Amino acid sequence: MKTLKVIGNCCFVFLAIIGLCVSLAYGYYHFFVKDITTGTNYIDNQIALDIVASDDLTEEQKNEFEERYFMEANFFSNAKNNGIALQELKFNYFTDYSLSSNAYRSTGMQYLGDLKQSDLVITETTEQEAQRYESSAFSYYDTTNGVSWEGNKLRTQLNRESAFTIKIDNRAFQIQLTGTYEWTTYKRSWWSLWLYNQPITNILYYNYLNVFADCMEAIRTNNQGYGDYYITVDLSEYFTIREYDMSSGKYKEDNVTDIIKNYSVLKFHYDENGARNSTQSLFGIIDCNPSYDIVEEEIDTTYWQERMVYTLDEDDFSYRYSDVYQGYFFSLNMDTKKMFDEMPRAKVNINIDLNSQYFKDKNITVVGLDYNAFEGFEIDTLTIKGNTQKIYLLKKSLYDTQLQTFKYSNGLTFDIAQNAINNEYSEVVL
Amino acid sequence: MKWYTYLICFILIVVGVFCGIELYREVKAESYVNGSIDISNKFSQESFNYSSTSVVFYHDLYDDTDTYSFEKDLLKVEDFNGEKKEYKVILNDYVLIGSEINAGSVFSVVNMDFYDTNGNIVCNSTMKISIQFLSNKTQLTLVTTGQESASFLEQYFSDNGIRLRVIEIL
Repeated sequence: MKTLKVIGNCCFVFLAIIGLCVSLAYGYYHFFVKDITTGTNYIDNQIALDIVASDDLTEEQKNEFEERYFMEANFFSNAKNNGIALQELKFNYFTDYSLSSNAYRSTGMQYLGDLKQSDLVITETTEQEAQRYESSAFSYYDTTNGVSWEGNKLRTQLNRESAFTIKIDNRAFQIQLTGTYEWTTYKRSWWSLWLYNQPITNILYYNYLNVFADCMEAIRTNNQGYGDYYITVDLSEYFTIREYDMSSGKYKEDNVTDIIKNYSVLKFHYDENGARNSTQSLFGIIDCNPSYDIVEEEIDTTYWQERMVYTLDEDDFSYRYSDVYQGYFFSLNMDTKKMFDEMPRAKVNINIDLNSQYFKDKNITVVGLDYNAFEGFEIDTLTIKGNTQKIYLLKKSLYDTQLQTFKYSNGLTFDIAQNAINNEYSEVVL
Repeated sequence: MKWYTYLICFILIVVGVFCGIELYREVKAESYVNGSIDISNKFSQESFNYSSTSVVFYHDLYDDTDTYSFEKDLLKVEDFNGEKKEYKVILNDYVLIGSEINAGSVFSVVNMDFYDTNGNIVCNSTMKISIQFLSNKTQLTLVTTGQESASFLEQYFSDNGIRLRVIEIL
């Protein structure tokens, strides 16, 4: 028994000696040998993995989803004094580590005015009061689909407890506002007869107000000026990034690397104008009002349908010479017809001036509309101007055109083939 | 051994384990780079392509011509040449025929009718589009006359967005 105790004690002392050696080795390595290591995280586009890899989406659709940066800002400076100063910052992230489009979420903050970093007062905060602090000077909005935004309570809070999942190198990471700013003040102590200045460390726990003001400052000082641009901002002072460990299912903070830098693209719109209405907001809302507009007397813009109006004239047609009629017949060429087939809401008017410079230059004498000239092509108004002359409308020249109005000069007479047109229309003599 | 010898040994073992783990982590630690950022191609574009979810027209209070305009500075376009190449202008899938293509600029006129539910025209809007391809940027200007026209166009772009492209015809 005694022998066992001696052996046990020896082992215990041996382990203690090893422990001491390891401690010394660690101290030596840490203070005298260790080289500096740096870690750099670049936060680029936050497009979901399923969209990047999708074969179902066309290139055009992919382009629509192409840009989704972690930080997007909107800054109406109102330098022209024609609206209100408006600043907005939006964070695009994922709700889980799947990094799929189903996990999209965006949260944003909006400030009515021109907030500058110098406007912020640096005061000490306790960690407890800082963790859930959200500045009341802002409006906050949230969305999952980027279309319908909502504010108020049931949204993601933008405070130090919020941790967002982001994509770096197609892997999941978590980003959280954890930064602090420390400074030292000195206080004379009574116990040293007021001779000793006791150093006191003050800590400011950054909140999203600080991030917001710095982003706006970065936009304000960009060398390109007003417009839509991209800059890379250094978020190292504010945010901590943790990598998702697939094996453990946990986000792990890097507390070994000496210097960690976090960079992110900030996409922004910087405008010389002031914001006028809520459609200019990143969220489609200003001051929690989706109908916000500085124009007091609004015009009722309710409508059913819009139609793009096209007016085709002499140089938009093809011309065929007829020996029988001693002149040219015009018709719509196939390319133009095909182009309009792809624009079903187009409303087409046709203007032909028989005395136009175009006809004089080309030495063309128009005598009418050719066979099937506009068949199946929807026309709203056909206008033919000219002097005293007979115009021939050959077979099916205006068939299935749904012509609404036919305007022509007083001196013109028409020889209309029996089935040149198959709908009723109104005539206007010019 | 005295009791404090055990205590010291225990502390040394615990500290040793802790330092061992830290030593291992520090020795194994390497510098790393996660991800990459490339925005170098974000300062110019090969062809003109502007899209947005809305357009807002501004009216200068000191302007008595009732002009409402939307101006925007965009990225410069690398190789626009209206003298040597042919282009077509497309606004929201509508080809703007009759566009005036100059050496470094494009002008178009858009006419749009808005109908009410009875099929009557409630507003007839005309909008002039000007695109100037400058050495360091591209200037887009949309101009219309009258507040009613501007309001209807704003509503249209709010409903449909704006996608304006100048495409080279090959």
